Amino acid sequence: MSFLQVKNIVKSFGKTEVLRGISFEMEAHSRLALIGKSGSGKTTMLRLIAGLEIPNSGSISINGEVLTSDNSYIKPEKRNLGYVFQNHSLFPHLDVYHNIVFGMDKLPKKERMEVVMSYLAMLGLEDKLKSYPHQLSGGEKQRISIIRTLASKPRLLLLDEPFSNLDKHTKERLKVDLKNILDKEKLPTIMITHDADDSFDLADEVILLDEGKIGARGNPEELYKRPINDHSARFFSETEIIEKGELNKTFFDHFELSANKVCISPQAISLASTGTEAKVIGHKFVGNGYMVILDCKGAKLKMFSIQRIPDSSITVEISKIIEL
Amino acid sequence: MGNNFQIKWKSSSKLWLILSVVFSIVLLIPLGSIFLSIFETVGDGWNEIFDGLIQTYLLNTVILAAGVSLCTLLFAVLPAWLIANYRFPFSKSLKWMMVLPLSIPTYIIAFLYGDIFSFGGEFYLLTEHLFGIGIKEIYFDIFKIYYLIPILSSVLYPYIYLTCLDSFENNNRSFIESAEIMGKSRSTIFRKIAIPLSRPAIVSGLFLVNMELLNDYGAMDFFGIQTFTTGIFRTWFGLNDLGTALRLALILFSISFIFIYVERVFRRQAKYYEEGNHANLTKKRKGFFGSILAMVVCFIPVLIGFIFPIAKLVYNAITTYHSVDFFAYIVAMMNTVFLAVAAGSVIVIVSLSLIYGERTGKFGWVSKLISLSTIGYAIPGAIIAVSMLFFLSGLKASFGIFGFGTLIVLIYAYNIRFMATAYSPIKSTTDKLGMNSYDTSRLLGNGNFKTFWKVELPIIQPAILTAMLVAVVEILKELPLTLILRPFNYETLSTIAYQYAKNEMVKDASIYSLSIVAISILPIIFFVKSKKEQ
Repeated sequence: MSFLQVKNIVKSFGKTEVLRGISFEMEAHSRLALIGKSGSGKTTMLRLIAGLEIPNSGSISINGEVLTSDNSYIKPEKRNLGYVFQNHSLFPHLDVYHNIVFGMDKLPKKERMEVVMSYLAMLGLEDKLKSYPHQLSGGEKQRISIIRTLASKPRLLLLDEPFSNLDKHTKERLKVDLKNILDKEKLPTIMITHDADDSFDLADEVILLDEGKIGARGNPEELYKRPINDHSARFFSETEIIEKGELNKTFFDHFELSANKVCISPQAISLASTGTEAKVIGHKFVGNGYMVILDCKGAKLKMFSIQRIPDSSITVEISKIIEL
Repeated sequence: MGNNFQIKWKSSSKLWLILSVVFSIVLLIPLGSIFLSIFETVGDGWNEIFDGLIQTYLLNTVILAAGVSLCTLLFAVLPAWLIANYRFPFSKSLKWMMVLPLSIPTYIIAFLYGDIFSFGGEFYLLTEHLFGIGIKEIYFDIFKIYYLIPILSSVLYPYIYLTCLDSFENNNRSFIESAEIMGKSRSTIFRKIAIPLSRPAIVSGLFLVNMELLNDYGAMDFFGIQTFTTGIFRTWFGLNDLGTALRLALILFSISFIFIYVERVFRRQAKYYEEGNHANLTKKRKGFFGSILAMVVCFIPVLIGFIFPIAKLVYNAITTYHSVDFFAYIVAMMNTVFLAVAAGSVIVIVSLSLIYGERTGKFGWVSKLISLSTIGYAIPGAIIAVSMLFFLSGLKASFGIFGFGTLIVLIYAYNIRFMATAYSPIKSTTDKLGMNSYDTSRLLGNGNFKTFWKVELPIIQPAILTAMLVAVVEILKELPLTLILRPFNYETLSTIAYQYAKNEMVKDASIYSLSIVAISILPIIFFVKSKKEQ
């Protein structure tokens, strides 16, 4: 039996249906990323698992124990789940120590300090023990929030966009710390993110939510390399999706494509001495190089290049075209 | 979901849910019962009122509402704009001084100006002393509706001033800066952009002004202006005709609802106006003449609404203190403080229950019920008083219980009238707090009550204190409800001040009035301090 079972969850707020029959399972010790655009229902799904929302229909179970169904409901405080909010949610009137021990009622008082210090040491925050939330930086607050959740020994960790309010440097550092902790604790985790990179770094499985439904599911690397549909293609990279039409008919005929929709990643296109002719119609500086916009037989494509391409007409080789 | 109710029930905090529903119903029952009063038999008073007085009540209400609205707008809007947009000498002090007249209840300002301009009053003494003009040459009868309009406006304008100031300071900066780049002057921007953008705020302030106006009894009675509130008093106290009083209350109730409806419509618009960049505008420095003009415009309302009345009150208190019955004063003070603190505490506890019932409950209808139960702030005290009487007589007829003339009933009525004063500041704090801390605590294994006690209560303590302070001061100033529902011979500062003034002994009322004003200034100082800290 799977560790977590989510069956046919429907949730609406007023007349807006946010989740439309979501079902998935998750194995113990695995790390799942729920990804999707704003309003796709990711946070609602996480809140339903935590018991902070009630579904219109459907059920959620952990290890066979029904948490929510049509006729049963277990309160959030009885579920033994950990939840890290986007904005850290540290209690402003409590210092770091009291914030962390807040959920450690079951542990004898004598042992609490030891546990707290071991977690703080893991993240190099020992000197923050007596600090109040307003004295901490954004990254420190989020680290303490994660420690507080882990210290309560949950059976499932839920992370709601834990990196969203952090700068790039802090975010990368926190990701490394979080990965180390999760590897050590072997705690099943569901993480919400709208950034595909987060799922590459931390998740071993991804569910892409699209308008309240599962748009795609799989290993992040596989979904990146071979998008199942245009939702996953758009989400995971700058992959260009080309729909067959009057203007790009030559492109489809040239490559003898039978599908009406294909996607091509920028990395799949490269300069070559023989291949297909294309016109350079623009450059976009992307930090470590340029995204070159091409017109190839009527289709608009993107190609990554380290240097600007001075010529207006070039020959390219397209190594992979995925038919959708 | 078949068992939706059961699931929602399980997921809600039962204690808060039950308390909030029970309290909401208890708060709404007396007000709801007023609709049943249509079937109540009326005495001869109704015919007399229906034959002529009702038109007078209506006309006076319309004249007062229109006049006071216009006058308060004049006193409030331009100063708020000047203070929000310009720098001139004393502009920072005037910003807060403009709020001070709120500490003077309408009936006290009416007593004071009535006394100053009455025959032999300070105004005539001063004109004779300074200009040698005899009283008979310039005497006019102050006790007219048209003179009452600016008098009441001088203490009611801060409601509009505060909403306008907030709106002008937070007007969408990009609109105003775009207009400036297009070469428009600040006065054009004031007329064509700031005023239309602040329309919801102005209406919201006007609503509060008119609610205070409809609620007033002391000033109207002192000036002899016949309105629905004085009519309710007259039919109840004078004619002992509860049926007629109830009908008048029902009409006044309908008028209040028109105001509530208009305010809600404009409040919905406010959401649309609130979009965009709200950073404060850079204040421009006024030139010499501009500065003088701005100071005069801002100083006049403060002078009329606060400095003159306070000077008069202090002068009266000094000249009459030897004749004050200090024992009666101490008793009235203790009665007032006891009543205000007791009722204030109950109001805070009930409002916490309402807020947490809504905050932790999963039933949509509960939120609507709770929201409705705080509507008393928009219902004049006289209506609440007669609806309480009607409700209590119903209880007596059905169960033999009658609490009329007891402190419990008075505290009950204060809860209906002032629930919103405590509910709003606490609700606004919990709304800002969001649910994340609450949810985090629950996910860490704590139940609803422990979460409230250990997490939320320490955070919302300042809001609770503010709520308590505002409720206490409102109760302390209250007159119509207290006059009708107080126990026999139970005197408070406001009832004694009113009785002295009614018996043309305004000077003797001064020590009581001054005490009310002195305590009423406290939440204003508190408010100013918290605004400055922000």
